[in-house]
Amino acid sequence: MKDTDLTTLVRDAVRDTHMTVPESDIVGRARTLRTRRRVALGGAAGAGVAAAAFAVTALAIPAASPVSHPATLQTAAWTVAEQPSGVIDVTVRELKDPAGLQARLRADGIPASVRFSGFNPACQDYNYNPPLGKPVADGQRPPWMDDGLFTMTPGAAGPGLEINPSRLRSGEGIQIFVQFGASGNAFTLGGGPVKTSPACTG
Amino acid sequence: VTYDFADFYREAKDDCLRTVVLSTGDPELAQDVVAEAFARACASWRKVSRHPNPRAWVVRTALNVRTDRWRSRRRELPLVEPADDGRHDPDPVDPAVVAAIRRLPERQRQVIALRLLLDLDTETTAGTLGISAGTVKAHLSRALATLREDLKLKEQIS
Repeated sequence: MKDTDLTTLVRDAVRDTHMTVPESDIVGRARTLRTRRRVALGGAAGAGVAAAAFAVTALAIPAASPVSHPATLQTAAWTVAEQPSGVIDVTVRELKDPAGLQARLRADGIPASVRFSGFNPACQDYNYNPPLGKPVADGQRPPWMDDGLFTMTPGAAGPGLEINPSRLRSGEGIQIFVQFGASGNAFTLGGGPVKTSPACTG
Repeated sequence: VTYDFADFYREAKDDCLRTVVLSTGDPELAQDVVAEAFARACASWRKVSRHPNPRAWVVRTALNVRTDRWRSRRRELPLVEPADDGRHDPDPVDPAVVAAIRRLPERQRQVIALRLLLDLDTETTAGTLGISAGTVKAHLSRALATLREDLKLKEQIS
């Protein structure tokens, strides 16, 4: 097989792959990035706004707030159960009603974003932002992986995770999401710490 | 001549997406990280438009975003039985060729994608991936040899 044939094969393999995100979405996201950059560069006034925002978040979502609803909520798709220790068990059986799961977790005092179709683009990872355009070194391990905020659990009833709200830091929430494989017939459940924001964690 | 971001996005979006799809093997994630990379390019368009190869900048940024997200989310658990609710509609790709490419080491996939889909020369590919030109040549040579052998075997079997 000639190199030109191979090149054609490789190009043909993805020729029907098209970017479906409209330009208006890209420009909207860019506007948000520019605004954040301006706020970050805004000096003392900007820092004051950021501090106030964190304070509001902390007051609105106290880590040890009393739960006024039943400790366990089970639907056909998922279960949320609070252990006596305060740890929240989440089990997912079907990819349905992510909004309901998200609402329940928020009611339990966890700033959460739940998507069963890709990621929430409004969410920013809590840790680790490499500089734009810079290659990142392999082998780095974010500290949150060992801090006990949450643990993924296989579980007989379905995959799940345990969330320990007492480990949430100021301005930190979690994102639960699903990623589909390239074939579309398999997916993974995942989670990660994110920065709290109205568009991400409510 | 003013090179407008809208023109750049329209002309480069599919090539950049295909390059990242081939590099990562994940069409849905690729859409997400390429969109983020284009948004960052748009936010810094004055700088990026002067880059020697803005497409390479977008692809490099997309791969960094993907690495960042992967690191933050490696507590994923595979589910054996999928729950297909019909909302997922991946882009069609040739499964045999894509499977052969996916079996390559990641760095070889990236070199193949940048060289063959973005038509980057060896030096630009090296700069984009942060490796030497010699390493690019070695990866490309090994990747093409492996693909050639893999696809030839498939032809013989079929």
